Amino acid sequence: MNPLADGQWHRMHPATPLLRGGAALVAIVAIVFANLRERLVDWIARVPDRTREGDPVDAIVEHGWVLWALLGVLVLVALIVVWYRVTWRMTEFRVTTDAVELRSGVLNRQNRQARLDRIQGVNVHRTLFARVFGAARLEIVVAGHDANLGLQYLGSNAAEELRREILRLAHNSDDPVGRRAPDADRAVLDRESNLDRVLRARADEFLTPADLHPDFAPASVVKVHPGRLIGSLILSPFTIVLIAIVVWLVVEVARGNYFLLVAVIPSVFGMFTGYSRRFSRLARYTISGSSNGVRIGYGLLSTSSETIPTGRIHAVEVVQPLLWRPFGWWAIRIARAGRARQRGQAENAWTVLPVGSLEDVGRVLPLLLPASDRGDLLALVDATAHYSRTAHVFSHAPRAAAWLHPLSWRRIGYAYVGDTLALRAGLIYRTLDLVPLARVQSVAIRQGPIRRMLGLAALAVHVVDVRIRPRLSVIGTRAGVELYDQLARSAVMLASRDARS
Amino acid sequence: MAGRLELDGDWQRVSTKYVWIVIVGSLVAALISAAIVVFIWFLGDWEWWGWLLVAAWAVGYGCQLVFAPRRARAIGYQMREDDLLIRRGIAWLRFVAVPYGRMQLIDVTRGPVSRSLGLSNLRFVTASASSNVEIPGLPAEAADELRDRLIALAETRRAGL
Repeated sequence: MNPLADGQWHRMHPATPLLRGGAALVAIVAIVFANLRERLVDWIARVPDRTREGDPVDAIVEHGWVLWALLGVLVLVALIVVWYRVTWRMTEFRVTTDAVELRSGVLNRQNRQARLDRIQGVNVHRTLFARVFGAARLEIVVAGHDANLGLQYLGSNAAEELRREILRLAHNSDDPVGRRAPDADRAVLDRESNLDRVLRARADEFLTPADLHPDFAPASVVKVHPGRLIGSLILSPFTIVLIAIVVWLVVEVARGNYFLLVAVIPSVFGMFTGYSRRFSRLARYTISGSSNGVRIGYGLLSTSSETIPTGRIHAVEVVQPLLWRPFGWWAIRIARAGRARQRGQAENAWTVLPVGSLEDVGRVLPLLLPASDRGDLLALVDATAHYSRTAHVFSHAPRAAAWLHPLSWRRIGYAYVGDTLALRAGLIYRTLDLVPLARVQSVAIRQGPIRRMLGLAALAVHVVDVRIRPRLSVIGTRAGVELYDQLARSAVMLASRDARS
Repeated sequence: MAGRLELDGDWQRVSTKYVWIVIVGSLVAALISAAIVVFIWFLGDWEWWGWLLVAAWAVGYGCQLVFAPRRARAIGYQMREDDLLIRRGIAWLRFVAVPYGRMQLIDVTRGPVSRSLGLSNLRFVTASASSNVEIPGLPAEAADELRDRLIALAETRRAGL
């Protein structure tokens, strides 16, 4: 068993105060240095005293306050050090068989608990600064706004090991036999599950040697070439907006409106830095399967590595924007409850494959939906990419749908892969949504006056993340009602089976 | 009509008094928009488009008032074995089915008008923001009773996230 996960209270890595306050400290030193630069240069070059108006250092020397000033600085530094030390001493965490607990705060004590059977994923974040010192932040993702529990900082290896341990415990506590049984039966069952646990740990050790060594993470199933990533970032609607702005700017300047240059150019440059930021966030993507779920890593300077238990993936979306079509690129996104709290990582939290070929999609999808048949999944992806009028992989909308979707009506359809619903749509923006029915929150069917005239209905499946909206915008009314009943029934059935199994 | 969307079953209707909430709501909206129209009238020269605006306003709210009873009657819910089915709308018809086990919480709210009529508004919240399940215009006791029943049902069919 991992020494950090023994159920006792533990403290963070002793260097935590330095790492947390590190950036601020560097900034303060830099500011002080920048302000005293001239003085230092003078002093080193032995230039005779120049007079500076209102310089605080001169004022201190003149009044003979040097000693007091030094003492003040010393006291301040000592106070900061003591404060950080106390905060560190007061921050403790423990991992029990039920939950991960964190208590922190000096004046306002805070006790936060993440129940193991509610964990949506475990991430290891390493900022550039922390990477230098071999430290990492462990984040336990649970559903709900700002509900995540962050352990910062731990040693890199300790964080990796603790993550594996937490996921393993979570996997076991998800075993509802132990959770649901009345207390009387519990002791017996617990003993069994302890034995089970030991056996499982042994089996894991033998079956997945790669994942047990933190230094040797399992190889990624896809490789995202940096050139392709840059290409995919450039070929985005954002670029079109940017080009439009630049063209408009050139036209206006040619007509003599020079003041616009001053007003707009800084923000245009800001937009360009947006590219490099996105690139450094999305670069070096790796994805691999592990015994505990899907493992996704990304980041050029600050790196993150997330492990998402496969049962926590609520929907998968495969998309191809129009501009990517000539290159045959696709992206994969997922819906999940709970997100990484790291700044600007909303995009990472739902991007599983930033850009990849059809083969890459075929390699990643089976990892995300292990319950579905691999061959069937590939057939669906193929049918989304290469439409054929004779293929009957997806259902067809009736002809009347052409009034509402003149271009894409033939492509709008659904199919099942095992217990997963697949929805295909779009000619210009091609999408394939895959929803495990056991994760569906609710199902809606609607019909407005136009659809009623055409004998059509629209169907929507609601999942936790509203950015992914799986829907069938046209389907024959009768077929729609049938599908709706079927979905509503199987969603209930599969959800309860999922909770029980 | 052959193409009309319909789901069978024994629909529970909301209170007939709910019509008054719809009517009061439309009247308040009408007053506010009337104030805006008057403001525009004072602001500039009133030409043919101004009268068009007034006509559109009158027709729009007239329709709302005329259809209010039918809209109120169109709202219905069914407690099926494992899920709650809700319907709304006449022209824009929408059905939502929520499994009981997906319930995260239930809100019972009462506005000033509904309080004077003794009605409550029941909202069923799931983990998805797009579910948007609401049963308005339930008599207060019925709403509380329904809430308790739904919570009891959710407890037996809990499905996690």
